Amino acid sequence: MTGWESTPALSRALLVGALLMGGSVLFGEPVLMVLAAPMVVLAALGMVHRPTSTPVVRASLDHVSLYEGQGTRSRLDVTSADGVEHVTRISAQAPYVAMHPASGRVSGLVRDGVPVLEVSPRRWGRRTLGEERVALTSPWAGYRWGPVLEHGSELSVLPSSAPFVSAAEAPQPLGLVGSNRSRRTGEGAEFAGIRPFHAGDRIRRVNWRVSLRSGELHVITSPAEEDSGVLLVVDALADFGRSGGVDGAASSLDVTMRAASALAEHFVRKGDRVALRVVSGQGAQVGSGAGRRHLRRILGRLAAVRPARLRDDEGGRLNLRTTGGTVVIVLSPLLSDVIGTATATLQRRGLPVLVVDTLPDEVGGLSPEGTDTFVADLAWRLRRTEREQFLTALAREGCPVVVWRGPGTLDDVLHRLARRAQLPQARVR
Amino acid sequence: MTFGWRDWSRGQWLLRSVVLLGPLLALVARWPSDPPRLWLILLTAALAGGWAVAPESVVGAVTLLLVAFSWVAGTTGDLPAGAIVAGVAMLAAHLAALVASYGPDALPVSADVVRLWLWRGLGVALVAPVVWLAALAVRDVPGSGTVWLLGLAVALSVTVVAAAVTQAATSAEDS
Repeated sequence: MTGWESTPALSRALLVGALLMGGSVLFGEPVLMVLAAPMVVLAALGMVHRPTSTPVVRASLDHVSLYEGQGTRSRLDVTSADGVEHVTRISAQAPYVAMHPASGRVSGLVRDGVPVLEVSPRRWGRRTLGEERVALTSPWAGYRWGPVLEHGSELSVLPSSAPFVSAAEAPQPLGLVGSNRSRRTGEGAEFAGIRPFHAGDRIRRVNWRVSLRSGELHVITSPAEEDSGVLLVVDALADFGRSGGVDGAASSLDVTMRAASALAEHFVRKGDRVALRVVSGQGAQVGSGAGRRHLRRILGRLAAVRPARLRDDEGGRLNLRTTGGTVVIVLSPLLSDVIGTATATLQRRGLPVLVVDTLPDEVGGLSPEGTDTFVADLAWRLRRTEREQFLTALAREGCPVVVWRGPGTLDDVLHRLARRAQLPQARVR
Repeated sequence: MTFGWRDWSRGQWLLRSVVLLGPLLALVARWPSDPPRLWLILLTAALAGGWAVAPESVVGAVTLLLVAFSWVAGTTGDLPAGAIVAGVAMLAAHLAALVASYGPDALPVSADVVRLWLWRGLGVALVAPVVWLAALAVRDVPGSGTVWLLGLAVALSVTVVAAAVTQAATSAEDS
């Protein structure tokens, strides 16, 4: 319905008013005229205010990109609103989108401003708000326009960064400018040692006390400070567990995304170059880069991730395309052979690889609806057994696996990797 | 068909109570002189209840017509002051149904909307005593019969048409 139609209230007032007035004249009963008069006046006022405009409504959001848990406002722009007195908006519920009012129903007079709905996405990803029905009513409620259907707006919901800080250095910094202590000496701030002066050394590096004592010029050396390359590998082959949104229980993909977001933010803030590779049927990657804008690109790509299995022919030739010196952080619930093979391959190449286990503890108790609980439990135990074997194989390869715990999760592992990087290594190319 | 009365907000309950009670009050407004029969009260209550549940349904018109014509069945040519009460009660029920039908059952009722319609309702309700007084004034005029009634009807109709024409002319000027 896209034109102005009379309301049931107008029809009722007209019908009752006309019949009572006719009855009054026909039967000579003035009492019917007394009862009819308010109805007739009301109907007349409704008809008199019939609008002639053709309104156009369009719903819009104040922000189309948000972090999960943040909120924005859904506004309704009504153009050609002459003769519109009242607006009713009914928005359908959408998964992982909270609304205020919670029912998604608002109405009000246009003179006070078109009513606004507040929305808050509760989970990362591309969220589409529920379809909205909009009805406009003329003054004195004589005519109604609609309800018309407005398609829900799209929101890009970035994963909230889980709390994360790390004081550990990158194992193999290999860049130009950064904050990681390199193995080679250079223009750093930290003390590395004192050696005799060589041609080309800066005068301000001369240590006069040692030079006077030894009788020849000595300079202070310091380790160079370089940036490091970090590759975040996100396993989005499947989502295990149930997600309750930002305030509720987390599924494996929730933990993965929030951890990836936190790591990306941490390394970008440190000045490192961060790349992203999403392992899923859709596949997605972001090249190496630094800075806030690059972080935004990574988070945007994470928000677009949907779990999907790889095609059969893709699993065997998964190539993560990394260069030397890159720290590879694999975020995975570790229930897929593909990830295991790719991780082991990188480990054999001598790259510093560490795996973050993102499988939530409570996944075991869940089984799909309509499934025999016993069978589901048995199947899950089998998967857990395979996973244990997989973890053992990774440990045998020397690949550290840590459970995501937020701040400090990677510190110990990165320290050990940094120490290991000082040792001579045999690499498979 | 399910009625979502469980989802009604407090405002909706209030409005629908007015829809239910308005016709009953209009019916019993002639109580001292001519009390309505029990079956009529029960029938009106049932219809008004249906109207309260579905404020946009045709049951509303049926309820109002039943109440209004019950006045004719009870009195012949009388013009009791209770007719004003009945007219206002019918109007209140009609307006309450109108406000309740701005959206689905669970739509919260805006206080501003209720206030607006309260003032409008009070303004429109003034028509009832005016017509009652006019009818009372001309009742004793000899030989009036139905002529004055016809005159009132014509006057009301002319007012409506004139208002409509004025509105149409204003709209044409604006465009």
